[in-house]
Amino acid sequence: MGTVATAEDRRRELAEAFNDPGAFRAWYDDAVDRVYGYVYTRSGGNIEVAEDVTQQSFVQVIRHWQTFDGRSDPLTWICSIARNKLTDHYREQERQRRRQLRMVVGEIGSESPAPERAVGDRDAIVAALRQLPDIERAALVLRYLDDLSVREVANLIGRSVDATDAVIRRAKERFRSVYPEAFDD
Amino acid sequence: MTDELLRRSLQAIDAPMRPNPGFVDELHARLSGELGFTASTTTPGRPQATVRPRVRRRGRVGWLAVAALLALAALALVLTQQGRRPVVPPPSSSPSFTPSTTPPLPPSPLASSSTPTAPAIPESSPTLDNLRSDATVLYESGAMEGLPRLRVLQPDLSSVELLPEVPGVQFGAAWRPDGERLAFVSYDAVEIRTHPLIWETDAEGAEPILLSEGCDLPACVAEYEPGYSPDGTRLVFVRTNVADGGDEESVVAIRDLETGAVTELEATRRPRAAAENLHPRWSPDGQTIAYGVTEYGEFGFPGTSTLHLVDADGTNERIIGTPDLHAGEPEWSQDGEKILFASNPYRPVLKAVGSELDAPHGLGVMDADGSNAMQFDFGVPIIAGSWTGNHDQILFTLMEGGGTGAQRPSNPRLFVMDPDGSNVLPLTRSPGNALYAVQQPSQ
Repeated sequence: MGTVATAEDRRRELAEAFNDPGAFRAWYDDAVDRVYGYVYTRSGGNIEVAEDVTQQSFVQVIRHWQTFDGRSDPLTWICSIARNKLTDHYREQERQRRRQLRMVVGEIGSESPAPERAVGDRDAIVAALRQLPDIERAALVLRYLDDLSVREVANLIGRSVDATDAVIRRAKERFRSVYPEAFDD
Repeated sequence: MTDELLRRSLQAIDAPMRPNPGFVDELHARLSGELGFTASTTTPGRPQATVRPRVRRRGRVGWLAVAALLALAALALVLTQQGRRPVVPPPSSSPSFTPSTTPPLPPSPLASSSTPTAPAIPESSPTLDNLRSDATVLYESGAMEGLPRLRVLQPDLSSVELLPEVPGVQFGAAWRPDGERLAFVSYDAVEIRTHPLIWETDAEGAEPILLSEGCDLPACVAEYEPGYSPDGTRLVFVRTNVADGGDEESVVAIRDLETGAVTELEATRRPRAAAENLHPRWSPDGQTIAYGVTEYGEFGFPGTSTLHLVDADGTNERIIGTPDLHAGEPEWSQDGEKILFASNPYRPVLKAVGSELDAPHGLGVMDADGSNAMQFDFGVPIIAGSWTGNHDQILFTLMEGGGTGAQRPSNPRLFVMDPDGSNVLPLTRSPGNALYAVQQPSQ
């Protein structure tokens, strides 16, 4: 019968990993795959963004791990940091785009290159996500991959609830058009 | 299409993935350096790759972002400590009631002997009898289901939709002080080009009428967060306009319900990208309007929230309360001497530094001049406080799950308590979905 890790256990685990080079390498090798996979999926398979966000997240963890309260698994904590980094990235992208356009009029086209032919579900879905504008991709994954409420997504992407709902609806329609299998039983 | 199918499709691909080996080793080398390990501590045989200057590539913006993060992290330390305050009152007792003074810097978590405590949630049976007024209670559903809809709580604790014929999103309900009418925000979720506008109906949800006449796209983007004047003849709300340069701006506005004339309060006009006015509420004497302002940082970080007052003629805008409260969503007491407020209504700061806990959602009361602020603490997030229909209890939502999302469901439930934090009693069952409840003013 397994035991349930306490907050103190989790904090101690992290402290031990960060105080010994060998332990750190072992911890890191596991963690980097989890965090990178988390970001890669949510970024629509954008390797540069996934690497950048993964790096920023780990650097923040290293610098602020003393603030880790142990209520969750350390990897869950890092993934939440990564999610916020990714959201910040999307928000900044969106802001720059809006500055350029002055106003958002109608739909914003994707600047992403056409995806390669997908092989397997993951590749296909990631490729489909890649075709969504950044802000729509962010809203869609926060809502349906991270299971946040519309209000929470709104808080993260810096829009009102109603505007966020509109973004999510657009994202769903666009995603369905490029990956109809997501809506098949 | 169903949301569940979409959710399943996306979550099926959520799995670990090995990055490019060069990246793995570069990052490991950098992190090892940050931790003070020597270069020889990397795995033998792996190439010692040069760390790419990813932060420097961003230039000044990147360094400023790091600086902003560090500053936020410092603030996070303080707020996290607030959220970690151990509180274990017995069932049906009071939450802790603490002054808002900034606590000392917390000790290292590893050195701390404190562990999160069980939420102090009353275990008595939920019932509407716990309300001293039997008037109608409205709330927003949607935390579990997606779009917010207005629902009426029934005596058996079931609920029915107030406006089943009105499609789309419904939220932000506010009662007219006489309890005869209520304003709410809605737009059609089917039509993308529709925008949020304020409507009015009665307690039965009959024949909604549009109050936001003249708010037309593209110049007027939205009207929301309505609140009535004490005599019910005017409505204060937040409007989002598109300014001449094309950027959105947020402004508190007043609509005369007799003539339809709208007055925008110039002192409250803010670039929407930088800040948003929220939840304006008229003082009982009609002289002052309180509202929250949530600021957004230069890099899109959600910022702080502060409580503002402005005279009803649009002059003399000032901030009340201290920054550490992160106060918003004001609600005046009936005598106008107290303001109920939410802390971190838009969960700003700790999200930005990635804390799983986030900034603690809280609820508090301050004097109308911002002094003597006190905050309630249940050990789990509290949101959405309002005064009950006869103004002698506080109606609020306790996020019993303590978090959000699939792994840490929020499980919002309605409770009431006395203004001093005593007599905490449940209104709705668990699991719940009731948020932002408002009770009809007593006749």
